[in-house]
Amino acid sequence: MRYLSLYFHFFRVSLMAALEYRFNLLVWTFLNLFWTLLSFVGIELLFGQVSSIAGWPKQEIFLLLIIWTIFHDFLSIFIRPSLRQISHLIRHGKFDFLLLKPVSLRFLSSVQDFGIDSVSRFCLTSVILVFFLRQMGIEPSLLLWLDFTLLFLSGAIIFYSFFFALAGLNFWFINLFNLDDLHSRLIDAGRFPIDIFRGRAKTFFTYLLPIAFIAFFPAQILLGRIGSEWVVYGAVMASVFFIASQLFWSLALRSYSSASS
Amino acid sequence: MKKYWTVFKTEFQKSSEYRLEFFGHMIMGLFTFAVMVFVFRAIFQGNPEIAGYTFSSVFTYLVMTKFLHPAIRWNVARLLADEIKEGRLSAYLLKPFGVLRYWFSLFWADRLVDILIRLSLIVAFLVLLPRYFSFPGFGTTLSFGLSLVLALFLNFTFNILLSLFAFWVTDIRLFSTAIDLAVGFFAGALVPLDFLPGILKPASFFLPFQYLLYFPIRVFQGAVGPEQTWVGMLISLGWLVALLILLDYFWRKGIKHYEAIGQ
Repeated sequence: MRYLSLYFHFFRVSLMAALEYRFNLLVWTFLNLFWTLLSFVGIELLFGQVSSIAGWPKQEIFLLLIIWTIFHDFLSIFIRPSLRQISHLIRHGKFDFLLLKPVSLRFLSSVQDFGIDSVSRFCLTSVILVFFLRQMGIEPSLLLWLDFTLLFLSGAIIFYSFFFALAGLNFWFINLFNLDDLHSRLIDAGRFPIDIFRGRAKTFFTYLLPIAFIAFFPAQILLGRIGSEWVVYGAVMASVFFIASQLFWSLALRSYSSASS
Repeated sequence: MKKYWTVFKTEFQKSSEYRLEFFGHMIMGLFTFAVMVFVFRAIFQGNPEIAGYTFSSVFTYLVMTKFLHPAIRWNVARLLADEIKEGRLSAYLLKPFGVLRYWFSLFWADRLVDILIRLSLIVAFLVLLPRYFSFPGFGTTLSFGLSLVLALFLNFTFNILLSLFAFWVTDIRLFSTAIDLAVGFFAGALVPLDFLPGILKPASFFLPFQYLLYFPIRVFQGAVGPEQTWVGMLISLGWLVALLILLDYFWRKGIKHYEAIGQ
């Protein structure tokens, strides 16, 4: 209960900070919507030349892109802003303040900041998803929506854990390159069907660094191509990534030496 | 002239210090590149030729897009706009040098380091993947080099023009997004211009953006004949002169409007 109250407190603080700069918030919202539009136009241009990509017709690629946008925004709201802060806190010796608090360090490092500017696009694309599915002639049952949500959340936990573990590298390498850029590039790769990859690359992106969880598996379950067993697989993968990231983080934390305070 | 040369040398040394960061970005860029190669391989499966491109020529196009990335970067616009917005431009105006010439030196030092690092990427592709990416010959490389220099001049001019908006508005992001859109579509950064439908393709040839990316790449690929190459370079030069006149006009207007806020 205490953690839940802390979570909402942090969210409220981020919301208040974002609303202080309303024009900024408006500009970022507009830009986010604009880039989404551009992605759709890019796909439209490619489909001006071909009728399918790796066996996926235009409508299904659009579905993939809608789900990818929702996933991207989910991470941008709830996960990436806090993880972005970690390197800054370590580099400037401010991480001590987190260590001294009587709260789980992982929790505190993961909930300090929220990306409020992605909320509007997240809501908008979620609504678009429902209408788009209807247009495709797909009316998912409540159980299918549940499977979809669980797969989606598994993907979010997998990528949160992976990025959290990567943030641990900051304890060893203070001047690490821009991890946020790496996050973006990895997530971007999830826009396309995994079927474009072949051989080892396909195995790698399905099982080891499963970008398939970003949009591919959730889209597949909505299209009725995979069953509920993949939800179980998602839960197993999410647990493995979560535990592994905790072990890696604990190991890395031992190398932390306060920079200034 | 000596003072600008000193600025250039200092900035070159400074940028070289961060070469590891450049490399880091480039390696991460290679991941995106690899994904795009997979995407296009899937697209070309069963289609040996699309819009006049084979998979091999699209591969070269993608490699060269990475190499020419310095010609579509807007970092100088962001930096100079911040100087204007925060009122720090006053410090430049009080010094005995031309502000734009100073930024011109900074720009070339930064781009030179970037290009040199990216050159290693080209060499690696030439050695490792000769089937998809091959040396086009000295004549073509020379023409490409000239078109690259013109592209960088154009990029500098666009960067400064973009930054000048900061004299009138506090946030230039909307304008930088607009130029990103223009570059995405009309410079061939999103897809080669030959993929554009309807009126967009002929429209792109009447705009300056293709000379930042598409034109140099097509010169490198040998897809532009010698005569067309010279015509293209002359048009590019014409655009450069026109944009420089525009830059001069807005710089004078901007300086008159400048309030040195916060200083």
